[in-house]
Formats: sequence, C-alpha cells, structure tokens
Amino acid sequence: MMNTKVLFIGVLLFVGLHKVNAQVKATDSGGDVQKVQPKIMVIPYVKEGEDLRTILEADVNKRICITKIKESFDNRGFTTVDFVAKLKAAKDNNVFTSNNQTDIKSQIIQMSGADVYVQAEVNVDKGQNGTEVRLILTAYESSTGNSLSNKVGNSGRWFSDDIAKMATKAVDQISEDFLNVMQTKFTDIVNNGKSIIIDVSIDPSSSYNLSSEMGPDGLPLSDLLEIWMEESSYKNNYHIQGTTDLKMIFDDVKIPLIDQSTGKNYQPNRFALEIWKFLKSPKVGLTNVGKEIKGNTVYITIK
Amino acid sequence: MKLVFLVVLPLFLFSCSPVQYSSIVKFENKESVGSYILSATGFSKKSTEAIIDAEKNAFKVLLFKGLPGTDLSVPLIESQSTAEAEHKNYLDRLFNEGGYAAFIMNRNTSFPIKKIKGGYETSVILKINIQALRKDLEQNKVIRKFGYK
Repeated sequence: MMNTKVLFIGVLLFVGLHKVNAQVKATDSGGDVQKVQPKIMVIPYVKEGEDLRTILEADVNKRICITKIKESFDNRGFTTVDFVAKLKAAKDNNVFTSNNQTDIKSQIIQMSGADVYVQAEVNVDKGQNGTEVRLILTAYESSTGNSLSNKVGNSGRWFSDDIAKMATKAVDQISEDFLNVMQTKFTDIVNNGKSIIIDVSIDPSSSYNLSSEMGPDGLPLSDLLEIWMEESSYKNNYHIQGTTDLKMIFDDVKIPLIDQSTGKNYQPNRFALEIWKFLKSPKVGLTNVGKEIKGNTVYITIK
Repeated sequence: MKLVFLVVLPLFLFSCSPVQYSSIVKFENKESVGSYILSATGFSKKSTEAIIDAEKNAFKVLLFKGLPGTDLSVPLIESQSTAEAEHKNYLDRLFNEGGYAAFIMNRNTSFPIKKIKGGYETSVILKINIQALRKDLEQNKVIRKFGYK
C-alpha cells in the first residue's frame, strides 16, 4: 500500500516536472499571450513595363510617398515590413524565378510573409493651372486578394515643382481615413476569423482522385472534405472556388486568430495539421498525405 | 364639449413639451496629422452650460458618429452601445467629469450665447488632439490598437 502511494507521488512529481521542463524557461511568459499582429507591407504600384525592383530607386517622390504612408502606420504604433529591405533580401537570395512583373510582385509578397499589402500609386499631373499629385491607396489581404481599404487623395493644384511636398500633402489628406477603414476590417477579422486558402491536389502518381469513395460510409473524398470544412472552419465560414477530380480549392476558409480552447495564437499551420490528421484518420483512411504552408495558403497533396 | 377637449388637450400638451434640439458639428480644418478643428453648437437651460454642451457634442460625434466626407468619417468607437455598457466609467470620466477637456488644444468661445425657446444656444470652435484621444482610448482598452490587438 505504502509502495503504491510512493509510486503515485513519484508519477505526479515526474509529470509536474516534465510539464515545467516542456517549456523553455527563458521564454516562459507565465501564460501571457500576445496576439500576433498582421504583417503589413507598403509597395509601389507599377505600370506595365515598369520594374518593381527598380521603381523606387528611380523615383524619389514615390519613395517619399511610401515613407509617409509607413509613417502613418508608425503614428498608430504599428510597424510595417520594409519593402526595400525585403526586396534586397529577395535579390540576395535569388528568390526571383522569372522576369514577369506580376510574378515578381507575388514573389515579394509571399517571401515577405505579409498578411496585408498596401499598394500606392502616385500620379503627377502638370497643367497650365499648376501641378497636382494624385495618390491611390489600396490595401489587400494577401491570401485572398480581398480589398481592405481604398482611398484616393490629391494635393490640390500648386504652381510649384516641389512634388515631394505635394505628395506628402496627398498622403496626409487620406491616411487617417485609410487606416480607420482598415481597422474596421481588422475588427471583422478579430470577430469572424482570418481568411486562408486550402489547395487540395492529387499527386499524378496517386491511385486516388477526389471522386474516390472513402471512409466507412464510402463517400466521395471531395464531399468528405467539404463536410469536414463545414464543421471545422471558424463560424462555419468557408467558400469553395471549384472542384475537379484532381483539385479542390477552398479559396476562403476562416480560421480564428486565437485558439478557442487554449487562448493561444492560432496559425494556418495548426489548421493544416488538423486537415492532415483528418485525412489520415479512419474517417478517410488515406496513408500518404503531404502538406505545405506558404504564408496563408495551405497546400495538401494526396499521394 | 368633449370633442373640443380632445382636440385642445393634445395641442396644449404638445406646446408644453421640451423643444427638440439638435446639435450641429462641422469639420473646419485639419491642422496637422492628428489635430483637427471642429465647430459645434450646444444648448442648455443655463447660459453657462451651453458651451460645455457644444464641446461634449463635438466629442460625441468624433467618438460615436464620425464626420462623413472628411477623413474622420469612421467614428473612433465602433459600437456606441457596447462601449456604453462595457466602459461606462471611462465615458463618465470623459463626459461628466470633463475629461474631454484634456484633448482640447485650443478653443474659441467668443460666439454670442443666444436666448432661444427653452434655453440658450451657442457655438464653439475647438482644436482637438485626436491622436492623443485615440491613444487614451487604446490605453484604457475602450478601442483596440491598430491591427488585431
């Protein structure tokens, strides 16, 4: 009897110690959780034929505009991802795999890990009645392309060649409202979850396809996935872009910012793991499933 | 006689009811990033309190309504009812204990106080430090900081 008690206390002590050791002491915050902020990057708009990689070097007015926009974020206590620094890192790491401007833009955004990017288009209109700088600001959610805020500002017409000062005026005119609209969209994300993309594809060597009847009920794989998504997306909010035998794309799946059971930050990786576990569970019965996460896009490959 | 009574009594009661007064708050200018000049009208039964009412009206519009067509079109507080329920103490301090005055950088109260039916009316022009007001709302957790926090 005594031995059993000693053994029981020993087990409790072991579990307790193990629990403490499971966390790195140097980073133990005592349960305090900081909500992960979205990463925002401000990029210049490029016209056809212009190179995103060189446009800022060539135009000081665009640089001023971008800096002023970043300053507006700073005034709200928010740090943005620096486009020029990311661009340099991308060049150093030979990230660019093509010379297509659209690809370069998406490669920089993907490489930066930005959740949101703000595109700034600066136009200078010189006329007989003076010069005017017009600014178009648009914020996009990187994963879905959803527009978060749009504003058009102008400096007013001035008989001056100080484009930089006029660009500053145009930014000042709209930055406050631009950020306020963005903040209302962030509130929606806090309340209703953030969007991720789930891309499910069948490996060419696989003996399955999305019509294969799986699980104990023999339901098509695509339907099993949709039923799971219906139950697992945050507030039952998801959208299917399309399904073929080889591909199924959920182009907007909401996941919470905070794990509803632990109160800790919830990342797309965790959601990807849940899909992976589901596909390998007896409910589906697949054995070889690959998963890859790039920013807010989850790629599931069934082999 | 009964008919006359039925017609006259509501008219009499209507004429005794308080005057419906609506405040006007207007955007005047943006001085620099975070500081704005607004004009507002106020009403009170006491002449001395009409200015205070005008000042409070300006802040209520900034906090709960926003000013369409300006870059303050989105109100600082997204839901008035939620804020009033969850941050009653803060809003009491701000409005009833004059806390809002800390965010007024400059005021012009030289407009005449007009006697109108039921009280007094006046206008004020205020320069408000909205950046500081927003920060105070954030620090007191009435609104979220920019982003998800």
